Amino acid sequence: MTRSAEVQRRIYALMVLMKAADDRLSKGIGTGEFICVYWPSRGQEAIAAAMGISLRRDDQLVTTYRGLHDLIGKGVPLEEIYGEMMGRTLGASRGKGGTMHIANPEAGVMLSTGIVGAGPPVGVGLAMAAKRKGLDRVTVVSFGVGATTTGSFHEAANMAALWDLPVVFVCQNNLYAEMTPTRDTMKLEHVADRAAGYGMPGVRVDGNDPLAVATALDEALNKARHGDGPTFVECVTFRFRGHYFGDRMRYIPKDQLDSALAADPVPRFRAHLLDTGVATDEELTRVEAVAAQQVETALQTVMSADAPSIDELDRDVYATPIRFPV
Amino acid sequence: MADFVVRIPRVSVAVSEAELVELLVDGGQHVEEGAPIYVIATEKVEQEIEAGASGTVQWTGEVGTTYDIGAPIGVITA
Ligand SMILES: Cc1ncc(C[n+]2csc(CCOP(=O)(O)OP(=O)(O)O)c2C)c(N)n1
Ligand SMILES: [Mg+2]
Repeated sequence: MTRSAEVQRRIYALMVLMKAADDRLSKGIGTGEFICVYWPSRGQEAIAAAMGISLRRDDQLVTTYRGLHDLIGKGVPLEEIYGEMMGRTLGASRGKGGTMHIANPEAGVMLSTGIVGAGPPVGVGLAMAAKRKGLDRVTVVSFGVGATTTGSFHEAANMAALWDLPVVFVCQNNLYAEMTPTRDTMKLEHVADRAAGYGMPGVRVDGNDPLAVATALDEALNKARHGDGPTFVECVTFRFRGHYFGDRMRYIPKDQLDSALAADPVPRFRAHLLDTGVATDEELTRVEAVAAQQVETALQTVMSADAPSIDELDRDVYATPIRFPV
Repeated sequence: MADFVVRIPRVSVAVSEAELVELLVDGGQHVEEGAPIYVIATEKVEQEIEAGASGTVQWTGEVGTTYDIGAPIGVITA
């Protein structure tokens, strides 16, 4: 499918914003400007940008700790994301949840989880709710390859297929789970082949090509929306900064990292837009400057916001708060 | 622009302190944002730390001292 120039420019703007948001965190933590813990998504932007243009606002998303790009794609304001990562009141969870716990139901982001494999069953529950309510919204669950080797993934995939639930499993295959290469954790060469075991279609796409991902997603979303059940979409990509910020990546062979960096989705899509005449160099440079400025403004807003007060401690935790002694 | 306070960065999830092992630039010298300006050691691993801003650096940290993450060790004045 060919995308309009406008859609392609939107994809690029999203990718650039995701990259700028990741780069700024990396720079700020690395130079001691601020302290925060995060799991970088640099390198995986094409997948999240494709989700950003393919999902409707009322479609729902469940993601993981490595969710900065996914959250931006789904339209969570940058201040809420950074605010949560840095423990400030304007964070999505009022600064009490941290990087791993960012949700924004208005934008359709229902859960970010740090428990590997915990997302798929929750996504299946959300899809079941939509089906029972007669809504035509779809739930997308985003996770890594490591998650597909958990029992909870198996249970979720099985039920989703059995009940033709409106869910799309998006596996961001970055070739590692923490420090372990995928080939050391599963016999299958292609994760998408797992789908056959549940009786659902499994497709494998170049996760560094946002147009390829969007095409696969559109088909999966369309099926799910029309009652034809789930799809498993494997998007092959790489994470450039390792598992967590500060990961020295000694376990990644240099030639593998070099070739992954050479396939960086952001400059690659930029070159595509120039080659096909969709945008000019000046236009794209402006998009990049706007993204950097947007990130800087969000960061400064967050840095000048307060940390949650002690009164916030048990708010949102219990329906009837038990006042913890402090 | 406001002065940039040079602080000991949290370079890895599990570290709470780091030793300042070397200053790569003398106090009073100009530094460029992104250039390595000092070295810290955490968990026996040494790492060069880049300048977070451009300007003239002045050091308050002492080489050989172990600091908590976030502790100020200098300032860069634009
Ligand atoms: C149930 C559970 N087991 C182990 C961990 C520790 N852990 C955190 S991330 C991770 C690797 C997950 O890899 P993958 O699913 O490929 O996602 P990626 O980090 O590559 O995005 C592991 C094992 C965890 N958080 N939860
Ligand atoms: Mg992985």
